[in-house]
Amino acid sequence: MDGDGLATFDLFVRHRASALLRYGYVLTGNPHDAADLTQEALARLGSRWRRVSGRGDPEAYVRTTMARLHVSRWRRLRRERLVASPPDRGYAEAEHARIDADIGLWQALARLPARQRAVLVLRYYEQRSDEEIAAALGISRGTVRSQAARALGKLRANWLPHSDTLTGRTA
Amino acid sequence: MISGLESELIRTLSAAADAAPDAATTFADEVRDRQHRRERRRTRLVVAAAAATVVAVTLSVLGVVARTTAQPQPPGSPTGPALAPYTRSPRLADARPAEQLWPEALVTLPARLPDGRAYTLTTILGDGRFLVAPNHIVDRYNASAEVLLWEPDRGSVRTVGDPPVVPGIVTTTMWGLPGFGDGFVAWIVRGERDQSAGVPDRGSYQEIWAVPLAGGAARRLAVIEGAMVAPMVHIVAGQVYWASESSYLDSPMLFRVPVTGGDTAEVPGSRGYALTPTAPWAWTWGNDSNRSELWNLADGTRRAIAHDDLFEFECSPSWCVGQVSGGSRWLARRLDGSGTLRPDFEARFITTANENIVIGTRFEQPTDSRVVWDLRTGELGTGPGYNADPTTSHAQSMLSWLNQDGTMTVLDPRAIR
Repeated sequence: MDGDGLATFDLFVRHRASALLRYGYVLTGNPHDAADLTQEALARLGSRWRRVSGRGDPEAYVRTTMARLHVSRWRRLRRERLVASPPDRGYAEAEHARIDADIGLWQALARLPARQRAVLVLRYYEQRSDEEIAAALGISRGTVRSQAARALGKLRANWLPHSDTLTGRTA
Repeated sequence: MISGLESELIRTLSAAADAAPDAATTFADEVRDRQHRRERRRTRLVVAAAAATVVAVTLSVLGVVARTTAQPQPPGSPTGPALAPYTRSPRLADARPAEQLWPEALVTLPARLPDGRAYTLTTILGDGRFLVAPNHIVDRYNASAEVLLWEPDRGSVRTVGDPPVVPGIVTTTMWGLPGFGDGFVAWIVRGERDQSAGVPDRGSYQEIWAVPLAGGAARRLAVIEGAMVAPMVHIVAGQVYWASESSYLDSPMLFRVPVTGGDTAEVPGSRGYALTPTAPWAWTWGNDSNRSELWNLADGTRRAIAHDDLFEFECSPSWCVGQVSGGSRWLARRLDGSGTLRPDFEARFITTANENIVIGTRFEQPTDSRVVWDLRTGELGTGPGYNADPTTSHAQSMLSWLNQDGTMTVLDPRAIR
């Protein structure tokens, strides 16, 4: 990368790091993995900065990279398991004490497979259409819909009983 | 119109994002450092591949692993033996139940051990003998660290190894696929750390165990702290092999220890390699590397993989299954990139312990379903629906499902001939 490219890439990182970290956090569920994921995606962007920035939307590139990296890494770690349990559950719960959100729902999200979680994050946090999600994750639109339906079904099953207990609400 | 759950999801994700830590002042510098390390590593890989240089690695996170670079590297050859001829792309309409296609690969077992516990089937030894791990009492979806030799026809259950839980660890589980060979079984025990106040968290905790199947004391061969171990071991020529798995940045690498105990060592030249389900092979995890090949850990032969257009894929010693960049359908093809087979349905495939058999997951409502595909013949077998019952076994060693009569049927890909 030449001097100009280095400077503009550095500027991009400084301006967008916090927003990307927030996205990494909702994807992964904990700040360490979020930082690791965000830095890795940005490092990959840096290696292709001239080409990607020339196309005009480096942030879309890095967010797509983050989603795919996250799903791919989870699959690699957990693919031998038919049933997965989140390895860092205790840590995620401790972190959640700082979050003004539904703890039962956050915990239920932690139990989803990475791809289902990514679909929900892209749809409900990034507000992307199913077509855009399909393109980002490299799956069909039908799979986006089926994965979202399955994920929401699991959340309904896992979330409501917990949230009743934790928040005192009635279903 | 969105539901109450969806509204709450939007609010929770937004609130969680707001609570995420801001980027540290050193964040941009860390990105630049990481980028430089990536570029240096890519350069090193090219040099290493050309000159068979042993790559120096940092083992600070793998505290107990002894550093050695003196061991000879297996001789390499660029290509493997001729591959089986490819056949035709499978059509879902032609699929038949797996039990009709491969009756020789099926066994039926009671769904519970004689004492009533659920279990995970880990290895079919033949002659009516099975290695199983009783499922964990407190974490019923995971197998405990204990290994049993079960002979249902004789009503015999014998404990092969039962690793004790060490101080500072509260629960242990079996992590991934055990290895079997040379009359030994080896497996990874993963420990859940004590999270109570005041106990320092030193990261993940794993142990490597092995025991002679004929009888004898199980032996703890290695302890790995602070770094993840990929969930698979192979026993090759008297050595237990496993792969490290740490972060997005670090490539995996291989380690080994004599199955009877001894010093643990890096496998020279193994940076970037992980184990495949098909022993005794390792391979370069393709996404992060500018080379891609399989490596036979027994005889040192290598097979190159053509993967330029694949985004996500995995390979057996004969085939790769994966997804072309920009596409949504998975395909299969030979290692050299020829003989592409395109199923007429959408599924994600994984390789198995049989290099010619892959298992696919089809995403359907209300439940996902499984298909088994013999790449040599083109035969496609339909499996059971996605089954979350704890008696299910490891997906990459075998496929199992529960029957109405309370028994469990297991399809062992290795038995498909």
